[in-house]
Amino acid sequence: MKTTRTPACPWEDRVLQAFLEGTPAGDAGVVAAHLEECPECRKALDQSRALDALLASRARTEISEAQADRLLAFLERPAAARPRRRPALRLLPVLAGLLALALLLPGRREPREQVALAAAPAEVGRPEPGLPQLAGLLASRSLAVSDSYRLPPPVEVPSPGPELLLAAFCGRPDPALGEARLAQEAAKILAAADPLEPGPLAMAAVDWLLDRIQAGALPTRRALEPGRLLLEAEDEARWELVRLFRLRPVLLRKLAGLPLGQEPELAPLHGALGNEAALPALAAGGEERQLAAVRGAWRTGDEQAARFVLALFLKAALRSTAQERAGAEWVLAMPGPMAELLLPELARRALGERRHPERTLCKRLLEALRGELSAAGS
Amino acid sequence: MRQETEPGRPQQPPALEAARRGDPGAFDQVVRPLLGSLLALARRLAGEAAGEDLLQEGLLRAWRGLAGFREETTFRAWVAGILFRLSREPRRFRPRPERAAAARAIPDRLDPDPLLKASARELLDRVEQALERLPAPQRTALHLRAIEGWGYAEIAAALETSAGAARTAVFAARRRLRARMGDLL
Repeated sequence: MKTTRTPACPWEDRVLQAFLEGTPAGDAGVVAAHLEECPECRKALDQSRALDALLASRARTEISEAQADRLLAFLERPAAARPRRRPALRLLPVLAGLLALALLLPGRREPREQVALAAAPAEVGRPEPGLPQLAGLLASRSLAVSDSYRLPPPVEVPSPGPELLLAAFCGRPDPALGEARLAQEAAKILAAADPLEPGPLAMAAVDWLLDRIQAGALPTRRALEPGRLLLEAEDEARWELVRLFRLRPVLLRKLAGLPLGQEPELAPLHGALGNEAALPALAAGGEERQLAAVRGAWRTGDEQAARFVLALFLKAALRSTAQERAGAEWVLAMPGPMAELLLPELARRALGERRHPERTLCKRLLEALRGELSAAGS
Repeated sequence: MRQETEPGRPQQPPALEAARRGDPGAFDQVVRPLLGSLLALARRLAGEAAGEDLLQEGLLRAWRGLAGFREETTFRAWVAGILFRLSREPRRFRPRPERAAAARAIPDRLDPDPLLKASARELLDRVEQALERLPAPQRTALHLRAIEGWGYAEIAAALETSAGAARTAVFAARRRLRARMGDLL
Protein backbone atom coordinates (compact mmCIF):
# COMPACT_ATOMS: atom_id res chain seq x y z
CA MET A 1 0.00 0.00 0.00
CA LYS A 2 2.21 2.78 -1.22
CA THR A 3 0.97 6.20 -0.46
CA THR A 4 -0.42 8.31 -3.27
CA ARG A 5 -0.07 11.31 -1.01
CA THR A 6 3.49 12.35 -1.66
CA PRO A 7 5.84 10.74 -4.11
CA ALA A 8 8.67 12.63 -2.45
CA CYS A 9 8.23 10.82 0.87
CA PRO A 10 8.79 7.09 0.99
CA TRP A 11 6.71 6.62 4.16
CA GLU A 12 3.67 4.53 3.72
CA ASP A 13 0.32 6.03 4.52
CA ARG A 14 -0.67 3.07 6.67
CA VAL A 15 2.21 3.76 9.04
CA LEU A 16 0.89 7.27 9.60
CA GLN A 17 -2.68 6.06 10.05
CA ALA A 18 -1.58 3.41 12.52
CA PHE A 19 0.27 6.17 14.38
CA LEU A 20 -2.91 8.24 14.30
CA GLU A 21 -4.84 5.39 15.88
CA GLY A 22 -2.21 4.87 18.52
CA THR A 23 -1.18 1.45 17.24
CA PRO A 24 2.05 2.09 15.30
CA ALA A 25 3.54 -0.95 13.63
CA GLY A 26 7.04 0.02 14.80
CA ASP A 27 8.47 2.53 17.21
CA ALA A 28 6.12 5.47 17.73
CA GLY A 29 9.12 7.65 18.50
CA VAL A 30 10.53 7.09 15.05
CA VAL A 31 7.27 8.15 13.47
CA ALA A 32 7.10 11.22 15.68
CA ALA A 33 10.62 12.17 14.74
CA HIS A 34 9.85 11.77 11.07
CA LEU A 35 6.80 13.96 11.42
CA GLU A 36 8.97 16.71 12.84
CA GLU A 37 10.98 16.73 9.65
CA CYS A 38 8.43 15.92 6.96
CA PRO A 39 5.79 18.56 6.24
CA GLU A 40 4.04 16.30 3.72
CA CYS A 41 3.46 13.56 6.26
CA ARG A 42 2.50 16.10 8.90
CA LYS A 43 -0.11 17.54 6.58
CA ALA A 44 -1.46 14.08 5.74
CA LEU A 45 -1.71 13.23 9.43
CA ASP A 46 -3.40 16.53 10.24
CA GLN A 47 -5.90 15.94 7.47
CA SER A 48 -6.66 12.46 8.79
CA ARG A 49 -7.13 13.89 12.27
CA ALA A 50 -9.41 16.62 10.94
CA LEU A 51 -11.40 14.06 9.01
CA ASP A 52 -11.86 11.84 12.05
CA ALA A 53 -12.83 14.84 14.16
CA LEU A 54 -15.34 15.93 11.55
CA LEU A 55 -16.90 12.50 11.38
CA ALA A 56 -16.98 12.20 15.15
CA SER A 57 -18.66 15.61 15.38
CA ARG A 58 -21.73 14.35 13.56
CA ALA A 59 -24.68 14.41 15.87
CA ARG A 60 -25.42 10.91 17.08
CA THR A 61 -28.53 9.45 15.58
CA GLU A 62 -31.16 9.85 18.24
CA ILE A 63 -34.16 7.66 18.16
CA SER A 64 -37.42 8.56 19.83
CA GLU A 65 -39.39 6.10 21.91
CA ALA A 66 -42.14 6.16 19.33
CA GLN A 67 -39.68 5.40 16.55
CA ALA A 68 -38.13 2.59 18.56
CA ASP A 69 -41.58 1.18 19.28
CA ARG A 70 -42.37 1.29 15.60
CA LEU A 71 -39.16 -0.49 14.67
CA LEU A 72 -39.81 -3.21 17.22
CA ALA A 73 -43.55 -3.42 16.63
CA PHE A 74 -43.16 -6.84 15.08
CA LEU A 75 -42.31 -8.23 18.52
CA GLU A 76 -45.75 -7.36 19.82
CA ARG A 77 -47.59 -9.19 17.12
CA PRO A 78 -48.97 -12.61 18.01
CA ALA A 79 -47.05 -14.43 15.31
CA ALA A 80 -43.74 -12.71 16.07
CA ALA A 81 -42.18 -15.84 17.50
CA ARG A 82 -42.63 -17.84 14.36
CA PRO A 83 -41.44 -17.04 10.89
CA ARG A 84 -43.91 -15.12 8.85
CA ARG A 85 -44.30 -14.56 5.20
CA ARG A 86 -42.62 -11.41 4.07
CA PRO A 87 -45.32 -8.77 3.59
CA ALA A 88 -44.04 -7.67 0.23
CA LEU A 89 -44.30 -11.23 -0.98
CA ARG A 90 -47.82 -11.88 0.21
CA LEU A 91 -48.97 -10.53 -3.07
CA LEU A 92 -46.62 -12.70 -5.08
CA PRO A 93 -49.30 -15.21 -6.08
CA VAL A 94 -51.55 -12.33 -7.02
CA LEU A 95 -48.86 -10.64 -9.05
CA ALA A 96 -48.02 -13.91 -10.72
CA GLY A 97 -51.68 -14.46 -11.54
CA LEU A 98 -52.00 -10.95 -12.88
CA LEU A 99 -48.97 -11.35 -15.01
CA ALA A 100 -50.17 -14.63 -16.41
CA LEU A 101 -53.57 -13.08 -17.15
CA ALA A 102 -51.96 -10.14 -18.86
CA LEU A 103 -49.86 -12.41 -21.00
CA LEU A 104 -52.29 -15.17 -21.74
CA LEU A 105 -55.47 -13.17 -22.26
CA PRO A 106 -54.44 -10.39 -24.62
CA GLY A 107 -57.14 -8.51 -26.36
CA ARG A 108 -59.98 -9.54 -24.06
CA ARG A 109 -62.62 -6.88 -23.87
CA GLU A 110 -64.15 -7.61 -20.50
CA PRO A 111 -65.67 -5.03 -18.21
CA ARG A 112 -62.88 -3.55 -16.13
CA GLU A 113 -64.34 -4.54 -12.79
CA GLN A 114 -64.72 -8.18 -13.76
CA VAL A 115 -61.15 -8.34 -14.95
CA ALA A 116 -59.96 -6.68 -11.76
CA LEU A 117 -61.80 -9.11 -9.55
CA ALA A 118 -60.51 -12.02 -11.54
CA ALA A 119 -57.04 -10.78 -10.77
CA ALA A 120 -57.17 -12.10 -7.25
CA PRO A 121 -57.89 -15.81 -7.69
CA ALA A 122 -54.72 -16.94 -6.00
CA GLU A 123 -55.88 -15.47 -2.68
CA VAL A 124 -59.39 -16.89 -2.74
CA GLY A 125 -59.98 -19.80 -0.41
CA ARG A 126 -56.41 -19.67 0.81
CA PRO A 127 -56.45 -17.19 3.69
CA GLU A 128 -53.11 -15.85 4.81
CA PRO A 129 -52.40 -16.77 8.42
CA GLY A 130 -51.73 -13.18 9.47
CA LEU A 131 -54.51 -11.54 7.55
CA PRO A 132 -57.84 -12.92 8.69
CA GLN A 133 -59.50 -9.59 8.08
CA LEU A 134 -58.30 -9.46 4.53
CA ALA A 135 -59.42 -13.01 3.92
CA GLY A 136 -62.84 -12.12 5.28
CA LEU A 137 -62.94 -9.05 3.14
CA LEU A 138 -62.06 -10.96 0.04
CA ALA A 139 -64.56 -13.69 0.83
CA SER A 140 -67.31 -11.16 1.48
CA ARG A 141 -66.75 -9.74 -1.95
CA SER A 142 -67.45 -13.14 -3.49
CA LEU A 143 -64.30 -13.14 -5.53
CA ALA A 144 -65.10 -16.41 -7.17
CA VAL A 145 -63.02 -17.37 -10.12
CA SER A 146 -65.01 -17.36 -13.28
CA ASP A 147 -64.47 -20.38 -15.49
CA SER A 148 -63.70 -18.09 -18.36
CA TYR A 149 -60.64 -16.81 -16.49
CA ARG A 150 -59.13 -20.12 -15.52
CA LEU A 151 -55.58 -20.24 -16.69
CA PRO A 152 -54.61 -22.73 -19.35
CA PRO A 153 -51.81 -25.10 -18.38
CA PRO A 154 -48.45 -23.30 -18.57
CA VAL A 155 -46.47 -23.83 -21.72
CA GLU A 156 -43.27 -25.67 -20.83
CA VAL A 157 -40.22 -23.98 -22.26
CA PRO A 158 -36.63 -24.50 -21.15
CA SER A 159 -35.58 -21.91 -18.57
CA PRO A 160 -32.79 -19.55 -19.60
CA GLY A 161 -31.08 -20.23 -16.27
CA PRO A 162 -30.92 -18.15 -13.08
CA GLU A 163 -27.81 -16.18 -13.98
CA LEU A 164 -29.21 -14.92 -17.26
CA LEU A 165 -32.53 -14.15 -15.62
CA LEU A 166 -30.95 -12.31 -12.70
CA ALA A 167 -28.90 -10.21 -15.11
CA ALA A 168 -32.01 -9.49 -17.15
CA PHE A 169 -34.10 -8.51 -14.12
CA CYS A 170 -31.27 -6.24 -12.99
CA GLY A 171 -31.28 -4.34 -16.26
CA ARG A 172 -28.89 -6.32 -18.44
CA PRO A 173 -31.24 -8.39 -20.61
CA ASP A 174 -29.96 -11.02 -22.99
CA PRO A 175 -30.98 -10.00 -26.53
CA ALA A 176 -32.56 -13.43 -26.99
CA LEU A 177 -34.92 -12.80 -24.07
CA GLY A 178 -37.86 -10.67 -25.05
CA GLU A 179 -39.94 -8.80 -22.52
CA ALA A 180 -42.86 -11.21 -22.86
CA ARG A 181 -40.59 -14.15 -22.18
CA LEU A 182 -39.07 -12.39 -19.20
CA ALA A 183 -42.52 -11.70 -17.84
CA GLN A 184 -43.37 -15.39 -18.19
CA GLU A 185 -40.22 -16.33 -16.32
CA ALA A 186 -40.94 -13.75 -13.63
CA ALA A 187 -44.40 -15.23 -13.15
CA LYS A 188 -42.98 -18.73 -12.80
CA ILE A 189 -40.32 -17.60 -10.34
CA LEU A 190 -42.79 -15.66 -8.20
CA ALA A 191 -45.27 -18.51 -8.15
CA ALA A 192 -42.57 -20.91 -6.96
CA ALA A 193 -40.77 -18.53 -4.57
CA ASP A 194 -40.51 -19.31 -0.90
CA PRO A 195 -42.05 -16.24 0.72
CA LEU A 196 -39.83 -16.61 3.78
CA GLU A 197 -36.55 -16.76 1.94
CA PRO A 198 -37.29 -15.70 -1.61
CA GLY A 199 -33.68 -15.26 -2.60
CA PRO A 200 -32.22 -12.62 -4.89
CA LEU A 201 -33.77 -13.97 -8.07
CA ALA A 202 -37.35 -13.69 -6.78
CA MET A 203 -36.70 -10.26 -5.29
CA ALA A 204 -35.18 -9.11 -8.56
CA ALA A 205 -38.21 -10.50 -10.38
CA VAL A 206 -40.53 -8.50 -8.09
CA ASP A 207 -38.54 -5.34 -8.70
CA TRP A 208 -38.49 -5.90 -12.44
CA LEU A 209 -42.21 -6.54 -12.47
CA LEU A 210 -42.91 -3.36 -10.52
CA ASP A 211 -40.60 -1.40 -12.82
CA ARG A 212 -42.55 -2.62 -15.81
CA ILE A 213 -45.82 -1.69 -14.12
CA GLN A 214 -44.41 1.76 -13.45
CA ALA A 215 -43.34 2.08 -17.06
CA GLY A 216 -46.86 1.27 -18.12
CA ALA A 217 -45.82 -1.92 -19.86
CA LEU A 218 -48.11 -4.06 -17.71
CA PRO A 219 -51.76 -3.54 -16.83
CA THR A 220 -51.43 -1.22 -13.87
CA ARG A 221 -55.04 -0.97 -12.85
CA ARG A 222 -55.43 -4.70 -12.45
CA ALA A 223 -52.07 -5.06 -10.78
CA LEU A 224 -53.05 -2.50 -8.18
CA GLU A 225 -56.39 -4.06 -7.36
CA PRO A 226 -54.98 -6.09 -4.44
CA GLY A 227 -53.56 -2.90 -2.96
CA ARG A 228 -56.92 -1.21 -3.29
CA LEU A 229 -58.56 -4.08 -1.42
CA LEU A 230 -55.90 -3.96 1.27
CA LEU A 231 -56.61 -0.31 1.82
CA GLU A 232 -60.04 -1.26 3.05
CA ALA A 233 -58.78 -3.99 5.36
CA GLU A 234 -58.48 -3.78 9.12
CA ASP A 235 -55.56 -2.85 11.35
CA GLU A 236 -53.39 -5.91 10.86
CA ALA A 237 -53.59 -5.74 7.12
CA ARG A 238 -52.98 -2.02 7.14
CA TRP A 239 -49.81 -2.48 9.10
CA GLU A 240 -48.66 -4.96 6.51
CA LEU A 241 -49.67 -2.57 3.79
CA VAL A 242 -47.62 0.25 5.20
CA ARG A 243 -44.61 -2.02 5.39
CA LEU A 244 -45.24 -3.22 1.89
CA PHE A 245 -45.30 0.28 0.51
CA ARG A 246 -42.29 1.39 2.47
CA LEU A 247 -40.43 -1.45 0.81
CA ARG A 248 -41.98 -0.78 -2.55
CA PRO A 249 -42.12 2.93 -3.27
CA VAL A 250 -43.21 2.22 -6.82
CA LEU A 251 -46.49 0.85 -5.55
CA LEU A 252 -46.84 3.80 -3.23
CA ARG A 253 -46.49 6.16 -6.15
CA LYS A 254 -49.15 4.27 -7.99
CA LEU A 255 -51.46 4.18 -5.03
CA ALA A 256 -50.98 7.88 -4.46
CA GLY A 257 -53.15 8.17 -7.52
CA LEU A 258 -56.04 6.99 -5.36
CA PRO A 259 -58.13 9.65 -3.65
CA LEU A 260 -56.33 10.59 -0.45
CA GLY A 261 -58.85 13.11 0.73
CA GLN A 262 -60.84 10.77 2.92
CA GLU A 263 -59.29 10.09 6.27
CA PRO A 264 -59.89 6.32 6.36
CA GLU A 265 -57.78 6.08 3.25
CA LEU A 266 -55.13 8.46 4.49
CA ALA A 267 -54.65 6.62 7.78
CA PRO A 268 -52.88 3.50 6.51
CA LEU A 269 -50.56 5.61 4.43
CA HIS A 270 -49.19 7.62 7.33
CA GLY A 271 -46.29 5.26 7.83
CA ALA A 272 -45.40 5.55 4.21
CA LEU A 273 -45.66 9.31 4.00
CA GLY A 274 -42.06 9.79 5.05
CA ASN A 275 -41.03 8.23 1.80
CA GLU A 276 -39.75 10.86 -0.55
CA ALA A 277 -40.70 8.69 -3.47
CA ALA A 278 -44.30 9.69 -2.87
CA LEU A 279 -43.58 13.37 -3.41
CA PRO A 280 -43.87 13.49 -7.18
CA ALA A 281 -47.16 11.61 -7.19
CA LEU A 282 -48.71 13.83 -4.57
CA ALA A 283 -47.28 16.94 -6.16
CA ALA A 284 -48.84 15.90 -9.43
CA GLY A 285 -52.10 15.08 -7.74
CA GLY A 286 -53.55 18.55 -7.88
CA GLU A 287 -54.26 21.11 -5.24
CA GLU A 288 -57.38 19.52 -3.87
CA ARG A 289 -55.69 16.20 -3.07
CA GLN A 290 -52.65 17.92 -1.58
CA LEU A 291 -54.77 20.05 0.63
CA ALA A 292 -56.73 17.00 1.72
CA ALA A 293 -53.47 15.29 2.65
CA VAL A 294 -52.40 18.31 4.68
CA ARG A 295 -55.74 18.44 6.44
CA GLY A 296 -55.49 14.74 7.28
CA ALA A 297 -51.96 15.05 8.62
CA TRP A 298 -52.86 18.14 10.58
CA ARG A 299 -56.01 16.68 12.08
CA THR A 300 -54.37 13.45 13.21
CA GLY A 301 -51.35 15.28 14.65
CA ASP A 302 -48.93 12.93 12.92
CA GLU A 303 -45.71 14.91 12.98
CA GLN A 304 -43.94 12.77 10.41
CA ALA A 305 -46.81 13.11 7.99
CA ALA A 306 -47.05 16.83 8.67
CA ARG A 307 -43.34 17.31 7.98
CA PHE A 308 -43.64 15.31 4.82
CA VAL A 309 -46.49 17.37 3.53
CA LEU A 310 -44.65 20.55 4.47
CA ALA A 311 -41.66 19.38 2.49
CA LEU A 312 -43.99 18.77 -0.40
CA PHE A 313 -45.35 22.27 -0.23
CA LEU A 314 -41.93 23.79 0.12
CA LYS A 315 -40.87 22.04 -3.03
CA ALA A 316 -44.03 23.16 -4.69
CA ALA A 317 -43.60 26.72 -3.49
CA LEU A 318 -40.08 26.88 -4.83
CA ARG A 319 -41.32 25.89 -8.24
CA SER A 320 -43.55 28.93 -8.01
CA THR A 321 -46.39 28.04 -10.27
CA ALA A 322 -49.52 29.88 -9.32
CA GLN A 323 -51.47 26.84 -8.19
CA GLU A 324 -48.65 25.48 -6.06
CA ARG A 325 -47.98 28.83 -4.52
CA ALA A 326 -51.63 28.98 -3.60
CA GLY A 327 -51.19 25.62 -1.84
CA ALA A 328 -48.19 26.88 0.13
CA GLU A 329 -50.06 29.99 1.14
CA TRP A 330 -52.93 27.83 2.30
CA VAL A 331 -50.48 26.12 4.64
CA LEU A 332 -49.39 29.49 5.93
CA ALA A 333 -52.93 30.18 6.93
CA MET A 334 -52.74 27.36 9.44
CA PRO A 335 -52.30 28.21 13.11
CA GLY A 336 -49.12 28.23 15.25
CA PRO A 337 -47.53 24.78 15.50
CA MET A 338 -47.64 24.16 11.79
CA ALA A 339 -46.03 27.53 11.17
CA GLU A 340 -43.33 26.74 13.74
CA LEU A 341 -42.48 23.63 11.80
CA LEU A 342 -42.27 25.56 8.59
CA LEU A 343 -40.28 28.54 9.80
CA PRO A 344 -36.77 27.04 10.14
CA GLU A 345 -36.92 25.37 6.77
CA LEU A 346 -38.07 28.55 5.08
CA ALA A 347 -35.28 30.47 6.75
CA ARG A 348 -32.74 27.93 5.57
CA ARG A 349 -34.02 28.12 2.04
CA ALA A 350 -34.18 31.90 2.09
CA LEU A 351 -30.56 32.05 3.19
CA GLY A 352 -29.32 29.41 0.83
CA GLU A 353 -31.33 29.99 -2.30
CA ARG A 354 -29.36 31.74 -5.00
CA ARG A 355 -32.03 32.24 -7.62
CA HIS A 356 -33.76 35.53 -7.11
CA PRO A 357 -37.45 34.66 -7.60
CA GLU A 358 -37.28 31.70 -5.26
CA ARG A 359 -35.35 33.62 -2.67
CA THR A 360 -37.92 36.35 -2.85
CA LEU A 361 -40.73 33.88 -2.43
CA CYS A 362 -39.03 32.28 0.58
CA LYS A 363 -38.51 35.65 2.19
CA ARG A 364 -42.09 36.61 1.59
CA LEU A 365 -43.33 33.39 3.15
CA LEU A 366 -40.93 33.88 6.02
CA GLU A 367 -42.21 37.38 6.68
CA ALA A 368 -45.77 36.11 6.64
CA LEU A 369 -44.88 33.39 9.10
CA ARG A 370 -43.10 35.79 11.43
CA GLY A 371 -46.14 37.99 11.41
CA GLU A 372 -48.34 35.05 12.21
CA LEU A 373 -46.12 33.86 15.00
CA SER A 374 -45.87 37.27 16.62
CA ALA A 375 -49.63 37.62 16.37
CA ALA A 376 -50.03 34.24 18.02
CA GLY A 377 -47.52 35.25 20.73
CA SER A 378 -49.32 38.45 21.55
CA MET B 1 -17.61 3.12 23.17
CA ARG B 2 -14.57 1.47 21.59
CA GLN B 3 -14.68 -2.16 22.55
CA GLU B 4 -11.93 -4.35 21.20
CA THR B 5 -13.21 -7.89 21.44
CA GLU B 6 -11.37 -9.77 24.12
CA PRO B 7 -9.71 -13.02 23.25
CA GLY B 8 -12.28 -15.72 23.90
CA ARG B 9 -15.95 -15.01 24.10
CA PRO B 10 -17.02 -11.37 24.05
CA GLN B 11 -19.38 -10.17 26.72
CA GLN B 12 -23.02 -10.25 25.67
CA PRO B 13 -26.04 -8.34 26.98
CA PRO B 14 -27.52 -10.09 30.04
CA ALA B 15 -30.98 -10.47 28.48
CA LEU B 16 -29.62 -12.23 25.43
CA GLU B 17 -30.16 -15.73 26.75
CA ALA B 18 -33.82 -15.04 27.49
CA ALA B 19 -34.18 -13.52 24.03
CA ARG B 20 -32.74 -16.66 22.50
CA ARG B 21 -35.41 -18.67 24.31
CA GLY B 22 -38.02 -16.63 22.43
CA ASP B 23 -38.81 -13.86 24.93
CA PRO B 24 -39.74 -10.80 22.83
CA GLY B 25 -39.38 -8.49 25.83
CA ALA B 26 -35.80 -9.64 26.34
CA PHE B 27 -35.02 -9.07 22.68
CA ASP B 28 -36.47 -5.58 22.98
CA GLN B 29 -34.27 -4.99 26.03
CA VAL B 30 -31.18 -6.17 24.17
CA VAL B 31 -31.73 -4.30 20.96
CA ARG B 32 -33.34 -1.02 22.05
CA PRO B 33 -30.13 0.63 23.33
CA LEU B 34 -28.49 -0.18 20.00
CA LEU B 35 -31.20 1.26 17.78
CA GLY B 36 -29.62 4.70 17.35
CA SER B 37 -26.30 3.44 16.09
CA LEU B 38 -27.94 0.69 14.04
CA LEU B 39 -30.21 3.23 12.37
CA ALA B 40 -27.18 5.40 11.57
CA LEU B 41 -25.48 2.40 10.01
CA ALA B 42 -28.62 1.44 8.07
CA ARG B 43 -28.89 4.96 6.69
CA ARG B 44 -25.23 4.88 5.77
CA LEU B 45 -25.83 1.64 3.87
CA ALA B 46 -29.18 2.32 2.26
CA GLY B 47 -29.61 6.08 2.29
CA GLU B 48 -31.88 8.29 4.36
CA ALA B 49 -35.09 7.18 2.78
CA ALA B 50 -34.63 3.41 2.95
CA GLY B 51 -32.51 3.23 6.11
CA GLU B 52 -35.40 2.64 8.47
CA ASP B 53 -36.82 -0.07 6.23
CA LEU B 54 -33.46 -1.77 6.11
CA LEU B 55 -33.17 -1.63 9.89
CA GLN B 56 -36.67 -2.96 10.41
CA GLU B 57 -36.05 -5.84 8.04
CA GLY B 58 -32.68 -6.50 9.67
CA LEU B 59 -34.18 -6.56 13.16
CA LEU B 60 -36.84 -8.97 12.04
CA ARG B 61 -34.21 -11.25 10.58
CA ALA B 62 -32.11 -10.98 13.71
CA TRP B 63 -35.09 -11.94 15.84
CA ARG B 64 -35.94 -14.89 13.66
CA GLY B 65 -32.35 -16.03 13.37
CA LEU B 66 -31.29 -15.43 16.95
CA ALA B 67 -30.88 -19.14 17.53
CA GLY B 68 -28.14 -19.12 14.92
CA PHE B 69 -26.11 -16.39 16.62
CA ARG B 70 -22.79 -17.86 17.65
CA GLU B 71 -21.29 -15.80 20.39
CA GLU B 72 -17.92 -15.47 18.75
CA THR B 73 -18.55 -11.78 18.31
CA THR B 74 -20.72 -9.14 19.93
CA PHE B 75 -24.45 -9.03 19.37
CA ARG B 76 -24.26 -5.57 17.79
CA ALA B 77 -21.60 -6.74 15.33
CA TRP B 78 -23.81 -9.68 14.41
CA VAL B 79 -26.80 -7.41 13.73
CA ALA B 80 -24.57 -4.99 11.82
CA GLY B 81 -23.47 -7.93 9.67
CA ILE B 82 -27.11 -8.73 8.90
CA LEU B 83 -27.71 -5.13 7.85
CA PHE B 84 -24.59 -5.13 5.71
CA ARG B 85 -25.58 -8.35 3.92
CA LEU B 86 -29.17 -7.24 3.52
CA SER B 87 -28.08 -3.98 1.96
CA ARG B 88 -26.24 -5.91 -0.71
CA GLU B 89 -29.36 -7.66 -1.97
CA PRO B 90 -30.03 -6.68 -5.54
CA ARG B 91 -31.84 -3.38 -5.81
CA ARG B 92 -33.60 -3.66 -2.46
CA PHE B 93 -31.94 -1.23 -0.15
CA ARG B 94 -29.37 0.35 -2.40
CA PRO B 95 -29.18 4.10 -1.82
CA ARG B 96 -31.25 5.99 -4.31
CA PRO B 97 -29.16 8.36 -6.41
CA GLU B 98 -31.29 11.40 -5.73
CA ARG B 99 -30.74 12.02 -2.05
CA ALA B 100 -32.30 15.41 -1.97
CA ALA B 101 -32.18 17.89 0.86
CA ALA B 102 -35.86 17.30 1.54
CA ALA B 103 -35.03 13.77 2.67
CA ARG B 104 -33.28 15.29 5.65
CA ALA B 105 -35.29 16.04 8.72
CA ILE B 106 -36.60 19.53 8.86
CA PRO B 107 -34.99 21.15 11.91
CA ASP B 108 -37.25 21.82 14.87
CA ARG B 109 -35.79 25.19 15.70
CA LEU B 110 -33.84 27.81 13.85
CA ASP B 111 -30.17 27.83 14.85
CA PRO B 112 -28.97 31.02 16.53
CA ASP B 113 -26.35 31.61 13.84
CA PRO B 114 -27.56 29.98 10.64
CA LEU B 115 -24.75 31.34 8.48
CA LEU B 116 -22.02 29.95 10.74
CA LYS B 117 -23.82 26.66 10.94
CA ALA B 118 -24.24 26.63 7.18
CA SER B 119 -20.50 26.49 6.45
CA ALA B 120 -19.96 23.63 8.91
CA ARG B 121 -22.98 21.92 7.45
CA GLU B 122 -21.60 22.35 3.96
CA LEU B 123 -18.30 20.77 4.96
CA LEU B 124 -20.10 17.89 6.58
CA ASP B 125 -22.27 17.52 3.49
CA ARG B 126 -19.14 17.30 1.36
CA VAL B 127 -17.80 14.56 3.60
CA GLU B 128 -21.13 12.76 3.42
CA GLN B 129 -21.11 12.94 -0.36
CA ALA B 130 -17.54 11.65 -0.50
CA LEU B 131 -18.49 8.86 1.91
CA GLU B 132 -21.37 7.81 -0.30
CA ARG B 133 -19.00 7.32 -3.20
CA LEU B 134 -16.83 4.88 -1.31
CA PRO B 135 -17.27 1.15 -1.91
CA ALA B 136 -19.72 -0.31 0.62
CA PRO B 137 -17.17 -2.24 2.71
CA GLN B 138 -14.89 0.79 3.06
CA ARG B 139 -17.83 3.08 3.80
CA THR B 140 -19.16 0.71 6.42
CA ALA B 141 -15.77 0.13 7.98
CA LEU B 142 -15.01 3.85 8.28
CA HIS B 143 -18.48 4.58 9.63
CA LEU B 144 -18.16 1.94 12.33
CA ARG B 145 -14.64 3.03 13.22
CA ALA B 146 -14.72 6.82 13.04
CA ILE B 147 -18.33 7.52 13.90
CA GLU B 148 -19.36 4.61 16.09
CA GLY B 149 -15.92 3.99 17.56
CA TRP B 150 -15.94 0.22 17.10
CA GLY B 151 -12.85 -1.95 17.39
CA TYR B 152 -11.47 -3.74 14.37
CA ALA B 153 -12.50 -7.17 15.64
CA GLU B 154 -16.16 -6.14 15.67
CA ILE B 155 -15.90 -4.39 12.32
CA ALA B 156 -14.33 -7.52 10.90
CA ALA B 157 -17.18 -9.63 12.27
CA ALA B 158 -19.78 -7.33 10.74
CA LEU B 159 -18.07 -7.37 7.34
CA GLU B 160 -17.24 -11.08 7.58
CA THR B 161 -13.58 -10.46 7.03
CA SER B 162 -10.37 -10.41 9.04
CA ALA B 163 -9.38 -7.65 11.45
CA GLY B 164 -6.43 -6.85 9.20
CA ALA B 165 -8.68 -6.46 6.18
CA ALA B 166 -11.05 -4.28 8.20
CA ARG B 167 -8.14 -2.07 9.20
CA THR B 168 -7.00 -1.87 5.59
CA ALA B 169 -10.52 -0.88 4.54
CA VAL B 170 -10.61 1.93 7.10
CA PHE B 171 -7.19 3.20 6.03
CA ALA B 172 -8.13 3.08 2.36
CA ALA B 173 -11.40 4.91 3.06
CA ARG B 174 -9.58 7.66 4.96
CA ARG B 175 -7.05 8.01 2.17
CA ARG B 176 -9.76 8.33 -0.47
CA LEU B 177 -11.73 10.84 1.56
CA ARG B 178 -8.61 12.92 2.12
CA ALA B 179 -7.94 12.92 -1.59
CA ARG B 180 -11.51 13.95 -2.38
CA MET B 181 -11.79 16.60 0.26
CA GLY B 182 -8.42 18.13 -0.67
CA ASP B 183 -7.63 21.37 1.08
CA LEU B 184 -11.06 21.65 2.65
CA LEU B 185 -9.74 19.61 5.57
